[in-house]
Amino acid sequence: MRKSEIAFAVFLVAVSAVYGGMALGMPRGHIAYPGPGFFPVLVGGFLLLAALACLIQAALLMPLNGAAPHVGPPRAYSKAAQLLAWLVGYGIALKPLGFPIALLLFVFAAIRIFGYRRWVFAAGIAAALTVLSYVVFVAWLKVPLPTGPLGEILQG
Amino acid sequence: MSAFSGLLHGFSVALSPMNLFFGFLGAVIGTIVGILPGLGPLGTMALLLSLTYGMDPVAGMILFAGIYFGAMYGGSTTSILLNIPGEAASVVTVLEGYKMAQRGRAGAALAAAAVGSFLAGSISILALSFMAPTLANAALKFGPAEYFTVALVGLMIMSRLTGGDLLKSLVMMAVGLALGTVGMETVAGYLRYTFGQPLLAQGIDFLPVAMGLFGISEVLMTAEEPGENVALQKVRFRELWPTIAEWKESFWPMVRGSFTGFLIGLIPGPSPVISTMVSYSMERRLDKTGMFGKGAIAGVAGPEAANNASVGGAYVPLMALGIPFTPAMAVVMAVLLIHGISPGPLLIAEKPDLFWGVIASMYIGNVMLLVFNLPLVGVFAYIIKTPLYLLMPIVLLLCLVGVYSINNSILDVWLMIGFGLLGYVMRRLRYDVAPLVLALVLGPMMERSFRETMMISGGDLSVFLTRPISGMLLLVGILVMVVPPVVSAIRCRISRASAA
Repeated sequence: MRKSEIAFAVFLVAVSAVYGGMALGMPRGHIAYPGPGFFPVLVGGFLLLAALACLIQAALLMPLNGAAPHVGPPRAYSKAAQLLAWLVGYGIALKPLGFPIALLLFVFAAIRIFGYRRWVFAAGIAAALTVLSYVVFVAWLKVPLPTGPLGEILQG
Repeated sequence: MSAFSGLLHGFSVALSPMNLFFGFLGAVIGTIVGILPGLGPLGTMALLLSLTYGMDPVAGMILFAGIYFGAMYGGSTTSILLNIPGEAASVVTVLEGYKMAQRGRAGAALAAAAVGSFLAGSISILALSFMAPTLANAALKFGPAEYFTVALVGLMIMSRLTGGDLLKSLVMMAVGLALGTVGMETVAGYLRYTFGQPLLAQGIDFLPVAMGLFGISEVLMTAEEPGENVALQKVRFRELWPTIAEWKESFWPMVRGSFTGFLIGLIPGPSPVISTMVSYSMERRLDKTGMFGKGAIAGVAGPEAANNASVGGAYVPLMALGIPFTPAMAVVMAVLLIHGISPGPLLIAEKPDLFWGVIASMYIGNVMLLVFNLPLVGVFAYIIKTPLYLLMPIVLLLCLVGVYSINNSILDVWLMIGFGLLGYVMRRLRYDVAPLVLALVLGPMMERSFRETMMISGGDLSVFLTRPISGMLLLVGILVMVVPPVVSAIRCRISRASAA
């Protein structure tokens, strides 16, 4: 946990340095007429100070105040990772495959990841949820979701 | 026309079958979108705006008022049951509501939220009916210095709010403020942090960030929970109602939340969010039960009352002055504008049907919502019994489809996924994500107000202290930051001295 805390604080310091550096490159104006970079410079400075303080706290104080290690059964980190991978897959597939196919595959995978093992029933639920969301969002609310090749077939 | 006769006239308008139907429809839609994470009242109203073209403007306004009030009622449900705020104004409800659910009092929390919402809705509509012109004048006294100070104090309160690590809260606040600077700045049209992406020019929307940080990260956390039957809290039906002690603990927070929420609703900005924070902070300080942080019913009843009351307050400047102080009110105003009606001081005189009809429909809608929500608290509690393999994919589906519908942009989908991962990491490292979301919402207003104040005052920073309202608010903010550590240090010394 301590290493993760330090790593995340380092990440925040890096982000704040990049943010602040970019802010310094913007026109700042002066106090009576602040430019577009004025507020970002203030925010960047505040972010950098707070991130550095977090890093120091993580490096120096964590052994004293650190969170208790996780006890009990091990966490299924792989499930969260799988879900995240499928979310990214949905984002990639949304345009080329269209929302019905991408959503169907994603919901099916999510049902399986959450522990439901019967393939046919999982596929049925995924199909039903996809059809329902198509009817509500595309047909009724007219959200212009990309429908992909299936949409072309449905629209004739 | 006096307020009383105006209201009577309004009821004759609102009780027509068609307007009653739209009030009912708005209340149902609002409750549902409030319950469902990923599709808030603002997104829903924006989606339905095109449907009001073919409607009578009174019916359109009644529909949207029902949606807004209904979402405030329903928003608490997923906060309490799933640790996922249905919309931004329910973020604070998560803090105590979910803790109550974890210790088997989800039903009591839901009932307190519904009754608090009804009481607050009634008080705020009464205040809107009788005090609108006077209170609108008071809100007019706010200049940019006050806007900036209100936002700053709101963030200060938030940083002290959750009882977590103050330093981590401050970092999250800074990240939120930084995200709020992305896009085209309003004064000179300068593009900041867009990295050549045209879609980023309009800035980072609050909804994808909130859906990612709260919705997606919660699902990821749930996915990794060990065991087969994990995560969601179960409710026994005999525990669906608060005990007498819980009613007593929640009554005054409801009353305080109602008045606080209404007054904050008059202030520009995301008043439902701020009102819940102020109410929560107030109740936490007044608490004598020691239950805050462990599932205090006052921490549910007060903020839920406050967010409902703020809706009534937010209608005051729109209806009396024609100024929308929140994005949701801007959508409501669009209903009028597409029918060629300009809201403002003359609206009451020129369109009494519309003004009083909408207000009367709020009374009716509020009763409808209580009738829906109290008996249906048990039905909503059934969400808990839904298997995880059904519930979590549905939550993800609503997030994925809902986030796209905000701006019809795939960028929002990616933002949500990215912030979902970030939220997951932050939650694992015990960073509180709520200050980030609030700072993102308030950041652009803070920057605009700060720059306007500096331009008006010629760069004189003391204006924030010398203007009475701003100075008072700053004093409150400083007290909120300084007093708790000083008091705890004094208490520590006293207890050490008495132990010695």
